[in-house]
Amino acid sequence: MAKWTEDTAAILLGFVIIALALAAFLVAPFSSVNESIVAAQLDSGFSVDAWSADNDSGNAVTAFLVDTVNGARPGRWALNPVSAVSVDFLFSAIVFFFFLAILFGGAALLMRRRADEFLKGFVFIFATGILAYLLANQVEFRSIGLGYELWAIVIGLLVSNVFGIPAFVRPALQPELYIKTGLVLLGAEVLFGKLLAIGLPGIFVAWIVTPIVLLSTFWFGQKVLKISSKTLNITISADMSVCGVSAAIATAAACRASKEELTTAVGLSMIFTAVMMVALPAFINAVGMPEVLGGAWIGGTIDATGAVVAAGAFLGDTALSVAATIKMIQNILIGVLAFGVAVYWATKVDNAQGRSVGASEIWLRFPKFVLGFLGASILFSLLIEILNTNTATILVENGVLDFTSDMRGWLFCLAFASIGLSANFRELKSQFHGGKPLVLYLCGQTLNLCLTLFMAWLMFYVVFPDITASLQG
Amino acid sequence: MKAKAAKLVLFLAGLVILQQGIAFGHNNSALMGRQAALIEQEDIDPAALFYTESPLALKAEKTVRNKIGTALTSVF
Repeated sequence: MAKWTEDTAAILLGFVIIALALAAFLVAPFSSVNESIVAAQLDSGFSVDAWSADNDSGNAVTAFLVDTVNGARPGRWALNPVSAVSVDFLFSAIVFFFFLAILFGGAALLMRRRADEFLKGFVFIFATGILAYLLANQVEFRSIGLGYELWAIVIGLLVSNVFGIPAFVRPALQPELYIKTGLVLLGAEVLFGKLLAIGLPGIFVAWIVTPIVLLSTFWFGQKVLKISSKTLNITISADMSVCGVSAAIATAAACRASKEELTTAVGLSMIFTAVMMVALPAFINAVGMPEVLGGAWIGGTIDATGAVVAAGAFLGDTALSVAATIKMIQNILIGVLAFGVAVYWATKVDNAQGRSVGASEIWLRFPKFVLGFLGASILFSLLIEILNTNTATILVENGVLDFTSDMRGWLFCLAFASIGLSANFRELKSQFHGGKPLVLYLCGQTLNLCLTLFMAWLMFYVVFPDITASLQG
Repeated sequence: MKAKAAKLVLFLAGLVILQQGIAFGHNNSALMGRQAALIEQEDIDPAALFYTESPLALKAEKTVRNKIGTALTSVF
């Protein structure tokens, strides 16, 4: 029997979680909820929010799953971290630990590793993840977007570089397995039907400018800055031009970038996002830019979705809606990005000698988890289109995807904890040698700001002023 | 052992300084203060990675679709 690899195990784990979510959040409540919604939407005043407020689409199983995954994260706190810890939290954390232990212990067995050794180390990784969530939920840290990814890396680096990693932890340091499983779940959130949410202006701002900036920045890094690592270059370029940390994770996994390279890209993204989240809306306000233009500019340039929402909200409701929708369309690009990078690396970059290679060798090099990622994306894109729109919103978006995105958050957190614990601090420092990654990010972001502003103005004010008028109305 | 303890204390001190620095920014910069208040009031998570993690982003898409529904039909 062929040995299971991290890629195939990640696909299996991802689809097990998706199947569980589909069974609990979609299949079980489907008939009653769909019937009720189809009847209710005949009323002219129907709204999904009002229906959700009056009706409960869940059941005991979904409530248990949601409470366990959400409850396993410590609460928000300001000065006393102990106030974030409650009995409910401890109970949920223990239950959730066993849930993950069964999944990943099973994966360890499939990959012919010792499950008992894996589980001993997994306790440590899970505890690091909880600490990361604890710091991310500190009120001030949260307000500037310092999320669990950053804290998981920082705590991991602190432990490994100050105390050293205990030997029993090493079998559970599987950042690729956690990341790839998380990416298969992320695929379910890449819904191609969302592309047309804001019509052609959105596609031009998010799907024309972004690849131009991505390719230009990558070219600049190779030809002008002469960055020695192509994987570092593409990870930073994707991170800066597409959608921050999630794009960095998908790209790094697709081109097999090192842990240190991914850490560098994530660090750069988080620092610049925190600055731009405050600076960009302030500048837009100062120059009196219209809300639609300002929103489109914010959505196309600030990396993380949460920061885009915060910056857009600062300008007003219209800016928030436009900014968040542009960012959402850009988020969808992540599927094409991961596939494109995986194919390019398998066929061109890994083939540095320039000799022609057969399809079988390309298949061997191709990161298989990308297929799981795309499969989940296609499955959910079709599902959303087939179902009644309102039923899909309530059962899929607010049910299945709400659960899988929380699971995915946990998996990324465990991945970053593993990265921090196993990253080489000297190697990490060497990434910044000569400041090239910083220069790459700054130059790429400058191009992104200029090009996005121009395209947003062209699309929303010259080519499609009717759409802009309807957004302002 | 002393060196390890010193590094740990240094790390914790760094966290406190960072937290106090952000709080100082919120209290002394009208811009940062307004944004922090908005984030708290609207319950925005600025660290959300993807649109599915932000209820406001999901709602925003539906608002936009509703608003430009008519305009979209004429474009296509």
